[in-house]
Amino acid sequence: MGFDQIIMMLIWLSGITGFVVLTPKHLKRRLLLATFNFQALVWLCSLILVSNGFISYPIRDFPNAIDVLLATEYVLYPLLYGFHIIYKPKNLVTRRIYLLTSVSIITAIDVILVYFTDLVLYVHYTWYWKWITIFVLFHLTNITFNWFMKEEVAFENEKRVSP
Amino acid sequence: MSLEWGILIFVWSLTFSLISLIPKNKRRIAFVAFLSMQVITNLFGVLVVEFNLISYPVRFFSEVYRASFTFEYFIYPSVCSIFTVFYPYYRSYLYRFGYYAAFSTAITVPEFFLEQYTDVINYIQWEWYWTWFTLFLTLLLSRRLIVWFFKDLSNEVSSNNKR
Repeated sequence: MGFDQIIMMLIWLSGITGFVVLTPKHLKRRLLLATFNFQALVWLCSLILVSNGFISYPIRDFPNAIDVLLATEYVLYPLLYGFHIIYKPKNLVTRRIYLLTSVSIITAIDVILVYFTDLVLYVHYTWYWKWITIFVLFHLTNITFNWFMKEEVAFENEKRVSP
Repeated sequence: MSLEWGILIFVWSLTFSLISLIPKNKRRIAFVAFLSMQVITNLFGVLVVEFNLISYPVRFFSEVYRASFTFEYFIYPSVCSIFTVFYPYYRSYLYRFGYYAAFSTAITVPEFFLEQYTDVINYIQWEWYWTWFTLFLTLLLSRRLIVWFFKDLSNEVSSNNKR
């Protein structure tokens, strides 16, 4: 097994253990909802980027089925967004800095993978485009996530899903 | 335009009109059902193609994604949200079993005919009863997930608003 495969497995493992170990029990639902929500958008976005030749993933986990690397686009980045949501600070100024830091962390991970491994390759892409993409995706996900979490009264009527 | 593309467009518009039937006060449940099923099908859709069980000759993002974007990303999650919204939790076990079976059958039958007569889907090492069985299981799985999800979420939402 090559270096890239090991990194890929480490990403899968760290994502899953991070979810199991680091999530506070009472915030698991919130984290999962945010993660699922972000995953849906990242999935579509990376399919569009890859099919138009902006990014390619030369070494990936399911090479026969999909040209996107699932380790980052399916597991790691969605989970990072989930963690971003559950630890969001209350203060408005801190929240701005926090948002910029979270977006930068995801971009940094991607850039590190570009430089040191063959997992990600920017064909017609740069780090600042990646940063803008992630930033926009964060905001798009926030729209639906905030819609879901607001209106407590409306929510009370809906929660009666009996087993 | 070939028959296959016509079918895909027809299925997209049919599903759009079906999800517009979801009552307004159940949109959050539908939303969670949609996202959770999407996470499940995205992975399983990739797996069945990776191991050469099913192929989809006519598909979206055909260069980079060899599973069915239409079914995994939109149709089945939408069906799952309709399934969850109208779930008869107040009825007997037998009735609920029938409800699961009806939804699984309602997808398996058209899929069987599409497999026989069109290039939308091709079974390589697969049988229609495997489809039925996996549909049944994934519906069960997503149902469990949603029940767990909504059980205490209202407490989380209200505690967050007070904080």
